[in-house]
Amino acid sequence: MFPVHVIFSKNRHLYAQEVEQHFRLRHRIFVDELGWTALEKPDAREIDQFDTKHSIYLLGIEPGRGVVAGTRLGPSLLPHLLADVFPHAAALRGVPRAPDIYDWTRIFVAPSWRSEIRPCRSAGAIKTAVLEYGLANGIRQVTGLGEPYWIPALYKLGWNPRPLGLPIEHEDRLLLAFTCDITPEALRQTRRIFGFDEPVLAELKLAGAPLRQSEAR
Amino acid sequence: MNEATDFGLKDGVIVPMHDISGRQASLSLAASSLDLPPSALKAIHLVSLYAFASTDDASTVRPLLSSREREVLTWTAQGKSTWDVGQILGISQQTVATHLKNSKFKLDTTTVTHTVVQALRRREIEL
Repeated sequence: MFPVHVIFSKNRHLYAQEVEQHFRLRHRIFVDELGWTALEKPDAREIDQFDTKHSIYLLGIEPGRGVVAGTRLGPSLLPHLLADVFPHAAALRGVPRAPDIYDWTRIFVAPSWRSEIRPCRSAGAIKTAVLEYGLANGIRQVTGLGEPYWIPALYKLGWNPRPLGLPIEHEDRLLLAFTCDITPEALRQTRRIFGFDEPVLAELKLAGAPLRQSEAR
Repeated sequence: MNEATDFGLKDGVIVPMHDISGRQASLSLAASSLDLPPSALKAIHLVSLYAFASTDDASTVRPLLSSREREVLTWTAQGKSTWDVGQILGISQQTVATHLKNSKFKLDTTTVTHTVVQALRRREIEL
C-alpha cells in the first residue's frame, strides 16, 4: 500500500510537485470522471476557495509515480464547504464548529488503485489516515457531505455518523451532511476491516528533522 | 405481478442501498395510497440507511487480509510452497497453512489458486 503523507502549510514547499499533481488528479476524477461540472477549471486544476494555507492534505504517494489517492481537511471555524456552500444540508442540527472539529472533503483514489471488489483497500488507507491524523492532533469530530451510502459505510467502520439534516437534492444526486467521531475504537475497527496492522501515515516530513505527528498542526 | 394491488397496496416507496462490502439491500413500504411530503420521503431514506447499517454487527464484515497473510499470499503467488514460505518468513509450515486457511475464509474462496486470484483482484497483494 502507498504511504499517506501529511501536507500542510509548514511542509507544503517540500511537496510542491505532489500538491500540483493532486490538483490535476482531482480535476480528472471529480470533473472528468464524476461529472461535478461546477468544479471545472480551464487549467484542469481543481482548486476551490477552501484550498487555503489552512488546508491539510493527506495524500497517498506511490514512490516513483506520485499522488494516487488523497483527501482534504480544513478547520470548521474557518469558512468551509459545508458551512458556506451547503448550510441547507445541515438544516436540522446546524453545522458543528469548534477548534477540534474539521470539515472533511474531496476523498479520491486514482483508477489504477481502485479494487474491483469492495471494500477498496486504497480508499480504506485514506480513511484510516484521517483517523490517525485526527487522533494524533486532537480532532474530535469530522463533518462531511456525501451521497447517502456514506452513512452505512462509516457506521460499519465505527465512526458513529450522525446526519445534520435531511438529504438534499443537488445536481441530480442526493447529498447528506453528517458528522462523525474520531475515536481510538473507530481507528481499531477501520484498521481491522481494511487489514492495516501498521500506521498508514508516513513520517511527517519538514525541512530539517522529522517532527512527530502530534506537532503537525 | 398484481398481487400487491389485489391486497390494496397500490403505491409505495423503495430505498436501494449498499454498504462497504458491496452488500445490497432495499427497504420497501407500500400502502393503498401514499401522500407524503418530500421531506417525509427523505426522512424515510435516512431511517432506512440506519436500519440497513444496523442489520448486522460490524464484526460480521469480513475483514481484509493482515500483513502476514498478504506476505504469505505474495510468496505463494510467486510459486513458493508452504515449506518455502515458512523458510523465507521464518515461521513453521503449519503457520503458513493457517495463514492460507484464514485468507480463504476472509476472501470466501475454495482453493489456494482461487485465493491468490481474489487477493490480486482486490488489490490486497501486488506482483
